Amino acid sequence: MTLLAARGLVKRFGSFTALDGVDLDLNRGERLVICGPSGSGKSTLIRCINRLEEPDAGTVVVEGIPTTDRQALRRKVGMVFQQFNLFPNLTARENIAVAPRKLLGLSRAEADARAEALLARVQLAGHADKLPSGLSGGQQQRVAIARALAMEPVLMLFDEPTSALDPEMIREVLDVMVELGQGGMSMIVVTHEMGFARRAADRIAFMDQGRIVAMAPPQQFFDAPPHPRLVRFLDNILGH
Amino acid sequence: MDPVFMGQVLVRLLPPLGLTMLVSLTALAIATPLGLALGALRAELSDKHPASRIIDAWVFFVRGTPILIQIFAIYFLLPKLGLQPPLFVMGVGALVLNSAGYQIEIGRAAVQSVPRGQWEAAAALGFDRHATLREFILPQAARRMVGPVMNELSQLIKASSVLSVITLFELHKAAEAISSANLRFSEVIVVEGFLYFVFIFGISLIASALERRLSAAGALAGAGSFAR
Ligand SMILES: Nc1ncnc2c1ncn2[C@@H]1O[C@H](COP(=O)(O)OP(=O)(O)OP(=O)(O)O)[C@@H](O)[C@H]1O
Ligand SMILES: [Mg+2]
Repeated sequence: MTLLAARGLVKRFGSFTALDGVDLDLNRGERLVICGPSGSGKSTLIRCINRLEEPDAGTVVVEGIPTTDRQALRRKVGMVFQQFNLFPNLTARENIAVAPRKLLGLSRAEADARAEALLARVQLAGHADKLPSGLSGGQQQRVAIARALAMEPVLMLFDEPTSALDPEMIREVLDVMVELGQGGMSMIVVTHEMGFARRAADRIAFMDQGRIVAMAPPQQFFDAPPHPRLVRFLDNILGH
Repeated sequence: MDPVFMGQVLVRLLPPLGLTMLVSLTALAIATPLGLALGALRAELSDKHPASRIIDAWVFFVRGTPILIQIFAIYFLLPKLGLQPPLFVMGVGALVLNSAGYQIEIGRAAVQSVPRGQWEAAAALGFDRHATLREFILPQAARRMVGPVMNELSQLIKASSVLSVITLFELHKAAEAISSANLRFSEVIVVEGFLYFVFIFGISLIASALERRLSAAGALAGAGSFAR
């Protein structure tokens, strides 16, 4: 069952074409990993899905949500950023509770209870009263995931969620994401963590110069890369 | 230096000090919310917006001219427009014109210094621009304003001494009058300077106590965690 359908997405920055006609479908419960060289348009693509960028052409339909209402769309599509972007003046609990409280009308008690439950789910029970500055990078990113989940999204977008982390913290974040996928969450994950892609993705897309040039299930993607540029990319990234 | 004379001067300067305090604090109470709000607004508007042009012209004028000119502008231009407010109101008006001009820049810089990622995080959750500004950006910007506003406050008090040129009988005007009547300048200057110092120092003590209380309440906590 199709959850997301993007058609003919084009995004230009000045004379530079960052997205050059991208089509993308995602089924409910599907986990898609997007990889590709720097500047290939990965971030731009997922930012067009929740309209942090306004595409110059093309359409994005997320099932059941009128695309004309950006705020409604964003409430149903969670996003996790490379730099976490937690609110530095709010505790972990408040970071998670603020949107359900202000946007969904939950009472403070209800929103706090939701926040506590999500903190436990990302293995951070007991850290509720800490400010982001008192948390490690891995912990901050898990709070950021919990914050997005608090809106009960139908789709989660991740833009290189582990690229800003020290190596020893990458695992704890990826584990949370794997579990999330196993729980049935629809996810689009921009990452170069190929171990995660192999373990958790249903399909992997390879982008180059603003297009999706290859897309395949993990086994085929790695064992019989369907595009010459992908072969080169995998050689680089896997260090062969 | 004649300590007895200085004592007399001190007593005679207390009422004008009261006026200096009143005019400065009234101006502050208007200029700070006005300036910071306009600054925050300016940060939100495009450069080409008509309101932006007015705000920019204000800042440009205030930064580009001596306060003496700004005071005379109020003093001579208002009557030309058919307005003849009392001296006190003109004095407050001149200080507001000046100080709000600087505080616009403080407000704008503070809002613009909040990283773009904060806007995006709130937008991605479904907050619109207005709610984002109110819930997340302004609280963070506010703590970046505290220091510069404190600094502007002492600038404003010092600037109030220039109101003597429109014969407002504030501390400096009164001191001038006493020294020329008695032809004794150094003693009066010392007492006058002492009173300004006590006022400004007292205000800055209150200000830093306020700053500490804000930070104890957590409002200032986490500062710099994104600056790294
Ligand atoms: N706001 C912008 N203004 C101008 N150019 C932009 C903007 N955002 C992205 N670009 C350009 O568009 C291209 C695609 O950017 P994008 O961030 O989508 O790439 P990416 O695949 O996510 O790369 P990376 O792996 O480095 O994150 C890049 O060349 C980038 O410089
Ligand atoms: Mg990117």
